[in-house]
Amino acid sequence: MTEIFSKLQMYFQFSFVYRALIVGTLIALCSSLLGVTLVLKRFSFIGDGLSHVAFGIMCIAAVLHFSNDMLLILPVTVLCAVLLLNRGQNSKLKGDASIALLSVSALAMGYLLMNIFSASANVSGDVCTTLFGSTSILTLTKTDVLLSTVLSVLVITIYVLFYHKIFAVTFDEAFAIGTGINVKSYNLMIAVVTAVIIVLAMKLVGSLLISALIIFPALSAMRVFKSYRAVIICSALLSVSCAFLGIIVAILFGTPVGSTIVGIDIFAFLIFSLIGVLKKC
Amino acid sequence: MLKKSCIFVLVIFICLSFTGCSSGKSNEGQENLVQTIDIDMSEFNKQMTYAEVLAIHMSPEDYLGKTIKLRGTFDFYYELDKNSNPIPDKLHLGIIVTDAMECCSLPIDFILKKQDNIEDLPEQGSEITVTGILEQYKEPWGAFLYLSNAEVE
Repeated sequence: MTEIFSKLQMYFQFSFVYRALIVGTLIALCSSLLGVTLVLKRFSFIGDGLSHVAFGIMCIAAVLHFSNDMLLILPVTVLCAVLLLNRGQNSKLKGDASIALLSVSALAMGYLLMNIFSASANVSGDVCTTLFGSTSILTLTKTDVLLSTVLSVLVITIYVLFYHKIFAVTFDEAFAIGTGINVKSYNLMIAVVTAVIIVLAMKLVGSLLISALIIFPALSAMRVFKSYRAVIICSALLSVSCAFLGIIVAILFGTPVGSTIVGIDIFAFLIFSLIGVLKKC
Repeated sequence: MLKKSCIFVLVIFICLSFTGCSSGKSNEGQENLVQTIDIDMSEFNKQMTYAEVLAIHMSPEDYLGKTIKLRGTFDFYYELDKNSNPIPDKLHLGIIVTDAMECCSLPIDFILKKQDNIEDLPEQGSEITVTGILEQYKEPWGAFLYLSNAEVE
């Protein structure tokens, strides 16, 4: 145990470690807040869909030699999120089909373009790192940290300020319309915030594992708690704890960060499921 | 609602205050253990070594002149002449670090303190620990980092 602490003490002298922890926990917090809404609205796989779109756009940005790919990734991902989520409950093309359509198209075309117009000496390595997030969170620049922090604070502020409206829109859009809430605007806001979180979360867990970061804390909390507020609070605490622990474990044992965080999320889900079963008994 | 909003803002403010903590400097606490080495990565796992070496490549100005110790894979190559033949006097020694999944790697050249023969050096591809002072040289096509006065273990 003392060896672990001395190792941690050694690693904590390096700036990239506490950058990773700060950004990682903020992203996990944002993901968990939106995760509850997305799970309840039956858009659990939106994380996968949008992250694949973001991956595709990242490939295009790399091919076009963009110095800052966020200038392209963020707006296009927001646009796709608006198209996917702002449909409301009466759209003809349901959530899962539209997500699948965009998701696989973007992933395939992105990887194809990367290979044809290879802008890097190590295409496989770059793709692998982006898809699985093995080192992305450990290699943040000061600009990355600032941007991630500002966006995370913005997301959390929006969620806190519009908590009751988001609650109403999540559970019953018809009732929300009846009470005078502008449902379209709030759906649009949820879509934009979701896109921002997805783009940020790609740095933490990679494109393929984003769904886990979004849905596992929410689903774990729902095993035990029944009220919306309790689920939100539990989901947020769980997500932050799992992300923090995941980053620490990955740093100590040299494991890929994204997979480690998701592994801990899965373990937490199993624990909470057991607690839920025992509560019923 | 207002009280909860204030609590959230306070938590966020505390988190934001940490963003100002990064000074780009590393390893000041190591002074008690090793007097001459500024950044000792010899005990790091692959993931952490790769992350710090990437940080060095991204912001070399924060690390130039510092004594660095790191572990990685030994490699070397000769520069080639117009006929693609190796030039004997143009030998480059390097250490390569890879991440945990070994899909990404980064090289750093090094120049030995004592000019050893190539036969005295470790086998190509073997794991070595190199200690040297980080410096930079510029070619028409870019700037490159290397460790000078290097010692190999």
